[in-house]
Amino acid sequence: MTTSDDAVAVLGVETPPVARQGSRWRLALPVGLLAVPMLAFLTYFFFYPAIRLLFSSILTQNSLGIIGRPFTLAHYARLIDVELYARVLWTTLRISAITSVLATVLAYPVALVMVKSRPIVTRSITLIVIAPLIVSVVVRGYGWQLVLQNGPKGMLNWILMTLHIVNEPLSILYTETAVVIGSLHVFFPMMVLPLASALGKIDPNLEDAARTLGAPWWKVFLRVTLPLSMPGFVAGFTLVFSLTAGSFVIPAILGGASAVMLGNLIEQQIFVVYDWPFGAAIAVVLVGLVLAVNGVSMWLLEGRRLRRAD
Amino acid sequence: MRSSVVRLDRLSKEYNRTVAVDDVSLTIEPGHLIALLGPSGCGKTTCLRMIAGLIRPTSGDVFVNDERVTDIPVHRRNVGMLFQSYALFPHLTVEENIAFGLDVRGIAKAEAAKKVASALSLVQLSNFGKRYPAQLSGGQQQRVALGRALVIEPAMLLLDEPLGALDKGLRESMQVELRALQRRLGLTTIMVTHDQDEALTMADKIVVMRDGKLEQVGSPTEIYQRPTSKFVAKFIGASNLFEGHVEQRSGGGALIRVSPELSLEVDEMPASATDAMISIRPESIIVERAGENAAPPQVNSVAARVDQAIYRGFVSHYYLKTSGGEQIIVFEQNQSQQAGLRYTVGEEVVARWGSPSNHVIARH
Repeated sequence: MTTSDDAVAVLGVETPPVARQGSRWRLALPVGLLAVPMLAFLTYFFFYPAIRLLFSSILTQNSLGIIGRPFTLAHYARLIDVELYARVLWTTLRISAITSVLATVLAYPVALVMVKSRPIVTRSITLIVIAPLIVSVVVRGYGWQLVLQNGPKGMLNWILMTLHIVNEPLSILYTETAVVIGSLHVFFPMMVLPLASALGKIDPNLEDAARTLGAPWWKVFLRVTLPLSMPGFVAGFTLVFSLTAGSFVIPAILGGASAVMLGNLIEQQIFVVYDWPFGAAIAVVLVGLVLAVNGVSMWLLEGRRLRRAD
Repeated sequence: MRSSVVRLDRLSKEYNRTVAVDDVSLTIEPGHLIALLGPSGCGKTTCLRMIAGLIRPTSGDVFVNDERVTDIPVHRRNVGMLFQSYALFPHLTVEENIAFGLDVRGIAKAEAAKKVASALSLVQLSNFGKRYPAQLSGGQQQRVALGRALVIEPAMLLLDEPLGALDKGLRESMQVELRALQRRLGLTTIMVTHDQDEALTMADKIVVMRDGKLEQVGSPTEIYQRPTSKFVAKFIGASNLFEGHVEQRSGGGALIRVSPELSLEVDEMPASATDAMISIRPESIIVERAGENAAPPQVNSVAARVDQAIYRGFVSHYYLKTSGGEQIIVFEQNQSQQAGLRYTVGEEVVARWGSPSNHVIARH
């Protein structure tokens, strides 16, 4: 709601005195006006529905399907009390956290190589990292379904069994693991790019200085490179966590019944069960989760900046 | 602190078939400060980084106290290094920066704290320990870097254009300060610079490098007064260079004819040479008004016209043109009582100098 207040404030911006001098008024138009078309669009198509959603999450739906008073927090209580829903919430958090952690671990080496290599190598890796974004998430989801197919005919199982790495086919599809793998693939660039950008900003002399001071490479990484790349890590982690937590397509295609996430639950409540207030409550919780993660990471970053500039 | 002998033995570095450092052999005496001096791209920084261990030489070896260190990784070489960008860790306080080398060596906290405190007082920053690098001036930041490099009691100090980012006044006072500290500690120091004044001010020995090779090695006086090549003569200070042929020999010396109106008398001339290149420093030339002396000397003297006159405070620069079209640069020290330039543009003058000022350059 504060956001729509901000919008009103911007719309109501007072014209600065210069504007009233006649001939120069065109130049002096407040720059804020440039944002008006987009703000109007967002106000009507985003802020208004979002506020409606927030409201319907505390309203009651009667037996005729009409949403109205009395106000209630029963939907939120249900989300926590009913074990199934609590489990979905927990699954969402777990999948998002695991995906973000794995993305971090996998992205660091890639980002390091990107930063330390010759320009041609850097550009090639960037291209490879970004390339999957060109393909629709749905297509990639079905692609992974083929790869992870359960039973001996699945591509991964076939390879593993042919190489005698496993004797029994693995059951990965329709598990949390499949969702993590899919999400990792989809959101990997969101981790690599901020990390590479942060690593690229580190003065290479810092690492040389640390080495001359007696630090072997792993201490250089832990004590210099890693702490200085924190802004990139926090940005990447926040992005991957938020996007995974809010994802719908990947769990729908790869998760099946055993890895239902909040996004799928919302879809069920709204389109299948027609329980808009409960769907809205879940959506609010999801948005709250994402905002919380963003808030914490912003706080971490601000803390660092304050500590440095003081 | 220990004073180490550092020896480079036929050190070379190639990058994709371009030679950055070419067969450099050099011994640095314990406690000496030597300056690797040369234009950018001459290989001086590559040389320094090979001594540090940051770059692996293509061939050749580095010895410290007669121990071969070529294969020892940088973090076990115990070198203190200063960078032009200071390279302070922005996420650590001044104290933490200085303690870094002690921490990674696993030195106990209490002992480390003591050493950090003494390093801070050594670089006169005792009250700045809790600050972050971004809160310090450039000069203070380089002092922190110095403290950080010294606290590990390095075998040698390596300076990579350490004062290049400071403005002139501060740079000059830091040069003197750094040199005094280095002398007091008796720490073998190798400095890279492209600033000849810095090299002359600070170094016991200057190593002039060109295209990856050593061009001349010597004390600042030797390098300045007796450059062995045209390159050194032009790179260190200003020089008037004349080419001529041996007209007459007398004892070890000779008379060199440069042009019909200019002949130079040199006190020492290699026996076999028939041609010579002579360098005369601008400050050793005396300018007189034409006609002031009844008979100008026949040698080491030439009539000229003032082409440009520049007042630079304690010194005036005169650019003279002889009738043969040669340019002569003269630096004349200004006495304190003097008003300004003694000669004006267009004035006819006579430039003369003593034969000891004629320095024969062997390679040209």
